[in-house]
Amino acid sequence: MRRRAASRSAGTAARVFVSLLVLAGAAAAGAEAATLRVLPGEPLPTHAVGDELVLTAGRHTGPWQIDVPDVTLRAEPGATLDGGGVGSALTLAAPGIRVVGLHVVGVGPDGDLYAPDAAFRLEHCHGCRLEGVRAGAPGDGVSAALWIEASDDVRVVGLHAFGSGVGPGATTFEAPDLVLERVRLEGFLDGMYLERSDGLRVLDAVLLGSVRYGVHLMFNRGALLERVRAADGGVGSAVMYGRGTELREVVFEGHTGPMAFGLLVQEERDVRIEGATLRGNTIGLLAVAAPGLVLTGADVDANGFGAVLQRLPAAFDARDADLDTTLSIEASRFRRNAFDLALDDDGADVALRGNAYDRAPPLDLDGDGTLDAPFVVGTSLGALAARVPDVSLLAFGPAMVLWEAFESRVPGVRFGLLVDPSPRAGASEPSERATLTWLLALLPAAGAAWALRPTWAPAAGRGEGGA
Amino acid sequence: MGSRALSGAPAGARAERLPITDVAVGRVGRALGGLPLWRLMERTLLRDPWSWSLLPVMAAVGVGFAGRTPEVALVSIFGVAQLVVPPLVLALSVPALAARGVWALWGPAVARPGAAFVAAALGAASGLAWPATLATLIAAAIAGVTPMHALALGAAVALTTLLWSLVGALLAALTLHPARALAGGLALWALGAIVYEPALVAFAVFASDRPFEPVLALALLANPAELGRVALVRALDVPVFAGPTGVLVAHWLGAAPLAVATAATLTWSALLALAAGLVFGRRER
Repeated sequence: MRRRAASRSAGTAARVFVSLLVLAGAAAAGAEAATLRVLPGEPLPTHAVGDELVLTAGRHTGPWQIDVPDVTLRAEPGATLDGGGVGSALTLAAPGIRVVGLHVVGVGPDGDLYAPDAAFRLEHCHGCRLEGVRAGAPGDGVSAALWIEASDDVRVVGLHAFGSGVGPGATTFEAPDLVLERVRLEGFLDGMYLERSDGLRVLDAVLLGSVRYGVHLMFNRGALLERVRAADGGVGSAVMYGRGTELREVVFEGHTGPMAFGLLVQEERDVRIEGATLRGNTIGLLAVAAPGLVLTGADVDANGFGAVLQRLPAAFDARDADLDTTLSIEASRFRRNAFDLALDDDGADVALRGNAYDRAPPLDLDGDGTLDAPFVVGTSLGALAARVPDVSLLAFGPAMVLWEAFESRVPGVRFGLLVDPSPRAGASEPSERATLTWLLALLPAAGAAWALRPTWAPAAGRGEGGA
Repeated sequence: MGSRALSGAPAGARAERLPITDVAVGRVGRALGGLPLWRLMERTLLRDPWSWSLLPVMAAVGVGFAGRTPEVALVSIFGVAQLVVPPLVLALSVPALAARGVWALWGPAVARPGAAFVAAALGAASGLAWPATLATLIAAAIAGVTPMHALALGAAVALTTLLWSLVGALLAALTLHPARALAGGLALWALGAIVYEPALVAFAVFASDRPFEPVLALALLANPAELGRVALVRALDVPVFAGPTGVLVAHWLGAAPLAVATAATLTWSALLALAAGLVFGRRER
C-alpha cells in the first residue's frame, strides 16, 4: 500500500514535472513571438530568441549589441539609432538576426580598414539579414557602414550609407556566401573591402567618390560582381590574390590621377569580365600577373589607356613563376582612348579577337561587319608609357602625333605587335554637332575681313604730308 | 610674297599720296602709340594666298579626329597645329621681316626702328593669326569640339602664331638675311616640336631608375609649345596625367593651367619682341 502510494506520488511528481516543462516550453514559445516596442531614449529591452523589437520614430541612444539569435530589429519610419560617437553603433553577434529599415548615425571615429567603428558590426552572425538600412547622411558621414567578420551567409539588401572618408563602406573578413544587394556607398575610404569571403556576391551596387578603392576584393574565390558601378574614386577598383572572380555588366568610370585605374586585376586567376564599361579612367583595365583573364563584350571608352598589362615588380617575380598574364579580349569596343592597349609584360600572352577599334581603318568591302584587314593595336608611346607612365604626358604632342601617324602606315616600326586578326567595324561614332563652334569660326573670318577693309580712299581733302 | 609687297609699298601710287604713318600704322598701330608697319604687314600676309592654305589642311585634320572624344580631338588638333602653323608662320613672315633692302628703305623713315620692326612682326603675327585661328576652329567644329573648348584651342593657336612670328622676327633681326633666318627658325621649330618630345621620352625611359620626374616636368614646362599642350590636357582633364611627373606638373600648373600657359607664352613673346627690337634698333641696316 505504502509502495503503491509512493508509486502514485512519484507518478504525480513526474506529471507535474512534465507539465512544468510544457509550461516552460509554452512560455518560451510565447517569448519568440513577442513584439517589444522601444521608445526613443529607452535602453534596448531585455529580449529573447525570436523577439521582434520595434523602434518607434525618433532618436534612440546606442550603442547597442544584440547577442540573442533570431531577433528582428525593425525600425519604424523616422527611427534613428545614435551610436554616441563611440565604437560601433549596432553590434549583431548571434545567428539569424534581422535588421529592417534602421538609420544609424553617431558612429565612432576609428576608420581602421580591418576593425573600424561601424554603423553595423556583424560577428558570428551567421545567416543575418540587413534590409533597407542607412548609415550617416550627406555631410555627416560615418567612419564605416558595415563590418562583417566570421559570419556565413549574410545578406544585406538596400544599404545606403555616406562615409567620412576615413574608413571602409563595407569591410568583410571570412564572410562566405555573403550577398550585398542594392548597396549604395558614398565617400568612404574604400567603398568595399571584401577579404576571404568565398562565394560572395555583390549585386546592383553603386560606389561613389571613394577616397581610395571603389571595390577591393582580396583572397576570395568564386566572387561575383554584377551590375556594380564604381565612379569618381581616387584610385579605382581591384581584384587581387584570389581565383575565379566574375564581373558582369560592371561600370568603372572617372578614376583619374597619376596612379588611377578603372579595374586592377593582380595576382588573381581566372577572372572573367563580361559586358563591362571602362570609361574615363587614366587606365581602364590594369592587369598584373593575371592568368586566365578574359574581357568580353566590354566598352573601353575615353580612357588614357584602355588596358595595360604590367609585369610584377622584379622583387616579386621569383615568388610565383606561373603568374604570367594570359589575357583574352573578345567582342569589345575600344574608342576614344589615348592608348587602346599597352603591354609591359614580356611573359604576357594576349589574344585579341573580334574587337572594334575607332583607330582601325573602316575597310569592310564585303559588309559582313568584320574589317577586311587585321588591325595592329597599340602604339610605341603607349608601350613605353606602360613601362614609364610619366611619358604619357607627351601623348598628343606634335612629334607623337606625327609618329603615331607614321606607325599607322608602317606597323613594323612599333614596339611590340598586338594584332587583332578579325577586328569588327563600328567603333567610331559620328562626332557631335558643333553648330556654335561653327559660328565661333566666323569670328576670325570677320577679323580677317576687318583687317582687309579698305582704309584709304582717294578722298578729296586728305593731304599728303603731315606725318 | 611679303617682302615684295613691303618694299613696293612706299613706291606705289597710293603711298605717294599718303604719309608713311597713315599707310603703315592703321588704327591698331596708332592705338599702340604710333608703331609703324603693323597694318601694312598684316594686310600683306592676309592677302597672301599661302596664309589661307591652312584651311584645307586643318579641315582634313578635323575630319581625321572626328569621332574621337572632343577633348582628345582638341589636343590632337593642337598637336597637329604645332606641326603645321609654325613652319608656315616662319615661311611667310621671315622673308618679309629679314629683307635688308626693305629696311634700308623703311629704316630712315621711322623714328624708332626697333619699335617699327616689332610692330611689323606683330603685324605679321596678326595677319597669320586670323587664318590660323579660323582654320583651327573649322577643324574643331568638324571634330565636334564644344564652343568653350574651341575658344581655348583658337586662343592657343593664336598665341602659337604670335610666339613663332616673334621667333622669326628675332632671327630676322639677327641676320637680316631671309634664307638664314628662315633656316634658323625652321631648325628651332624642328628642335622644339619634333626632336624635343622623343628626346624627353628617351630621357625618361633611360633614366627611369633615377629620380627623373622633376627634370621631366621642368623640361615639359620650359618649352612653351609643350606647356600650352600640357595645360590644355590638364584643363580638359584628359586622363593621361600618370606617374609622379603628372602630379608635379599638375601641382605646378595649379588650378588655372590655361592662365599659366597664356601668361608664360605672353612672357616669352614679350622677351622675344624686346630682344628683336633691341637687336634691330642697334644694328646696321
